[in-house]
Amino acid sequence: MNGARPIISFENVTKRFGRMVAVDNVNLAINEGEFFSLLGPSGCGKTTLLRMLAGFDTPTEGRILIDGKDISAVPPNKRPVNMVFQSYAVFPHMTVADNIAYGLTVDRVPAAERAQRVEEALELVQLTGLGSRKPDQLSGGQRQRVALARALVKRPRVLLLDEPLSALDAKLRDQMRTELSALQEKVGITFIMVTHDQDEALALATRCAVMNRGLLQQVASPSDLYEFPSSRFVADFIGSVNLFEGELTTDEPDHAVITSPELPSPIYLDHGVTGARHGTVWAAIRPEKIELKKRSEGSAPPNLSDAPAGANVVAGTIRQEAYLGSESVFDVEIEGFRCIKVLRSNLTRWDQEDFAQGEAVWVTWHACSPAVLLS
Amino acid sequence: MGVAMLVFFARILPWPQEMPWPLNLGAIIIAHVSFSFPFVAVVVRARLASFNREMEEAARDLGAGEWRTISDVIVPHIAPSLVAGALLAFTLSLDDFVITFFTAGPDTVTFPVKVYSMVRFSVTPEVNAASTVLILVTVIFTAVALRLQGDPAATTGHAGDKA
Repeated sequence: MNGARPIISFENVTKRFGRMVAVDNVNLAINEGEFFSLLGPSGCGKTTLLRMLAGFDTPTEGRILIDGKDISAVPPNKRPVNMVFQSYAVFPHMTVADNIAYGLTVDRVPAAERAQRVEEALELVQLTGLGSRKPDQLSGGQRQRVALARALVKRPRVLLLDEPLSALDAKLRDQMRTELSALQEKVGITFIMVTHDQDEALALATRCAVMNRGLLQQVASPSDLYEFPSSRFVADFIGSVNLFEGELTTDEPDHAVITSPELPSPIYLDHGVTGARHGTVWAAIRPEKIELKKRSEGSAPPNLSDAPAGANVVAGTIRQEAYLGSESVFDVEIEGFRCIKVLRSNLTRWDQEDFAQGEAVWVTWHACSPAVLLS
Repeated sequence: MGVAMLVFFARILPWPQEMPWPLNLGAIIIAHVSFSFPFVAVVVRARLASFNREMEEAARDLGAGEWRTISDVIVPHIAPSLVAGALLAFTLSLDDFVITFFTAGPDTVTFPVKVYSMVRFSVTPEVNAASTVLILVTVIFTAVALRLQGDPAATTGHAGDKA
């Protein structure tokens, strides 16, 4: 991905529908060549943001720049962006080729060039030879490719995708996901995708913005979002997480300790907490970063190489097991305290039989695994 | 409604005299449009309700102006209902006697009014001939319509918009 030249900037953009604030003072820059993803629960304002970019909604306050030019007053048909709609919105009365050519016809591109570009676009989305079909003779996945080709044939500066994979079944979705990613690399156009599906966003995007209630929560790369969430909302929204509310009792440059009333033993961290303050903090531990070990009655807790004795280990009992094929998810009740989720990969064909319901276990995690959240 | 129209036209007369068709035909047209309009509107509205707004936005997004969007995307979508509405309006208009009778002047008469005035005295051969032609035309149109309905190619144009 080249350079950090912003192609799109949102400057203090707010959108209100009556009294409802759909987008609340968003500042965001999207760079040339990025595959950017807007992620959030439904109603968080991500689609509104996209529609403002396409020109179907206008910001109540603030402005939107494309290539440094304010486009707030430019109608949708004059903007250098094209969109792939959630329902694809392929014109049913036109053939596939006519659909793809539509944008060029409207722009009065000469017929010869038009035919060539349509042919190229068909090839790009692997629909060569289907140009004369009507949309109702196509499958859902093929219709989506038509929508993609129709938008890409205009060579937009930015391609907008509104929940592009939500209407496809699971297998096809995986396939289209791979293809979308390959397509973006091939054409080199900036893609902006709106989705509520975190897997989709993590797998495809080079950078994600998480939104909630109109506010931008965090903008980061997929792995930073997952491993270094900035707030409880992000930690909880991306993947699943065990959150422990507690207090920072020790905070040195090379280690820190959180004591939580929800856990019998302290959480030891192998790093200091920057920007820490007194009061409540939260420790977030992902289920796959927690390990289970068999425990016999009255045995001493195992010693961990990266934490002092007694920290980062608790005694528990398995209450639920869900076998998901590639992994198993356990609900483990910490003796006298709450339940936590633990995910365990089934590395061999017998791994799912290691732990049974009601079995006593030691629950441990590494000192680098918990993420400390201040809000 | 015929009486209301009669009073209305009597009230707003005199009309400009140099119209391209006889004055009374103008009155009949206005009357017929106003009573057919609701029927057509209901049919077209019903069809328009199934229109996916994203389709309109897609056209705009691809560079079409508002008028271009209407002619390229919206009109093709509602075309079947426009045809149905036209046929309905034609039938209503052809069938109507009362409103026409009240609004028509001495110079212009429509088919049913003419037939009515002819059969008041006796059924002439002209009336028989006219009836035969009307029945034939109806039968032919019905046959054509049935044929078109049976032909899948003629109905595929709007089968795909359930997505």
